[in-house]
Amino acid sequence: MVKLSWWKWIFILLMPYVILMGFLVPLGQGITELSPYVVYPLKTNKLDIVGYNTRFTEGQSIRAWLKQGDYHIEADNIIVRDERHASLIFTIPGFPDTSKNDGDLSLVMDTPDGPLVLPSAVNLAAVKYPDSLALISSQKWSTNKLAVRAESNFNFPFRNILGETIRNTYFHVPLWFAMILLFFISVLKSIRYLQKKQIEDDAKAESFVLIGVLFGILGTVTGSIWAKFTWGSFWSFDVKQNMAAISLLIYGGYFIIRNSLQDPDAKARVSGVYNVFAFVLLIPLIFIIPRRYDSLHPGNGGNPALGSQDLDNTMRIVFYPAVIAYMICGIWIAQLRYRIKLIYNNIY
Amino acid sequence: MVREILGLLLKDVKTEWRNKQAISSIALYLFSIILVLYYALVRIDRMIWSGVLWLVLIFLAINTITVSFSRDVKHRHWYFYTLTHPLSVYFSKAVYNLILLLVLDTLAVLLLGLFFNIPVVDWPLFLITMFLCTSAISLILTFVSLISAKTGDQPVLMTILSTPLLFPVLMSGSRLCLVSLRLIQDSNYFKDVLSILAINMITFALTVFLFPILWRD
Repeated sequence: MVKLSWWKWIFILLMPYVILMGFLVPLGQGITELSPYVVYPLKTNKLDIVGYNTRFTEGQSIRAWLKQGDYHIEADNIIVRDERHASLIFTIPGFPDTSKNDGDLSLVMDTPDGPLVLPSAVNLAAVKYPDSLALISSQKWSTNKLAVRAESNFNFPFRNILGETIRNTYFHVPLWFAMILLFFISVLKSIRYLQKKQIEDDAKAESFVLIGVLFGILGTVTGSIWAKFTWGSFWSFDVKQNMAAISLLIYGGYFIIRNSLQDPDAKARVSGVYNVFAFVLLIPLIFIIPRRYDSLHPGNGGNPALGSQDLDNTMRIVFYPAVIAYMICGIWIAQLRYRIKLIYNNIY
Repeated sequence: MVREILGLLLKDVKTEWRNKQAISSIALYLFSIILVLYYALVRIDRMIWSGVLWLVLIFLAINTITVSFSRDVKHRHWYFYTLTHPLSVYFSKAVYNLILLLVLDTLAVLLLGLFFNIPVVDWPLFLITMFLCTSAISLILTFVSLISAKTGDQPVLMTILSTPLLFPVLMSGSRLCLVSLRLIQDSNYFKDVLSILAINMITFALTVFLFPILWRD
């Protein structure tokens, strides 16, 4: 029986949990298609919607509103065709405050499974009409608070561009967290080497850098595949993609230095110094500069990276264990690689 | 320590002044590059001007700084080692490289102005950007040139190591340059100035710790 350290058991427990939860928990309901995109005031508008993971046929108590700011208006009628298809009939009076009409109306629905929201769903056409006509309508814009039922099931949130690929959050993002941790540990080992001149510390530092680079490559690959399905191309020269490539190049330099030196002490010293230098210069590259640029990634252009829009509570209970599991996984692999290196050095 | 730095700096300037090898070869290189660009492009607009300027600056920096440690004879390093503090060696080299690069930068901008034009609108910002970027580049590259000297003077190594390490400086610097040419609007450009300043200070602090370790054999 192999005896494992306690923290390896954490990985063994967490990783299956992350994989199972990440793949098996269903996605919440959402609206994937809506047509037409424009609604006209003082007319009857029919909006056809296509839902995802919705159950329109079950339960007759579906309601729908179009909402802008504080004002909202309820649908006159909802024609359900099947589980995923429905038509909403709206009679829209003139907007009460024409000066504040910015055109975007959000669609809010109340279903037995919980709320269904599509932000900026349709555009309210700016049609000139006499003020008196605004009053002639059976429907009125209301400012009462919308009463919708709470989410009843355990779901991951549905996001329009992401769809099912939102699950990649648990397998792509933690790779970068783990990469930074591995690089950080390797810097600590390098500093220890430079202080105490124990060649084992240098071998450890090299293993941690190697596995960190491996995680970086995996992160780039998983990110590229994700980008293909959401942003449309494998590489869109997003600032974070470029920074990831640059940081991998910087660590490529680490191995070039190691390969160009023969004497093990000189190799350990020069590469250790470079490792510290590179890691500190990596900090502005990863944490400061991307914030100054527009990015397709969440967390740029001023919005918080792990805000409630990107990561809701159901995702958190999978995401944080995933981060811990990946970090432990990286440390474990790096340790194994270090031990193999030791055996190799003893044999040859 | 200041006396040591000044002495070493003066020694570098004197050796350069006696044979004028580095500065003349680099100036010749600069002149021929811009001449080639003149015949290849004839006229350039402001966007390309900024790109050309940065390309010329990077190549100038890498070419001048690569030799800063390997130019001295190997045994002279031991001589310095017995006489002076390692940091005085580093700062004398870095300051020397900074002065040399500033001269060459000025020459590059003047030559670009002679052959094309100088479309700079915001001169204070442009000069601050040039100064801060050049000092960050010379701090980083002086350190990298010692690393490459320690690995047996492979000229390829310098290019491979320095380009990714310079990337943060070049990104913020070229952005600020575009702002000073009024090609992009950015009311927050002060943050870029701050980030280059921060990179300068980080590199300074790092080299104070790391250079002495790397210096002794």
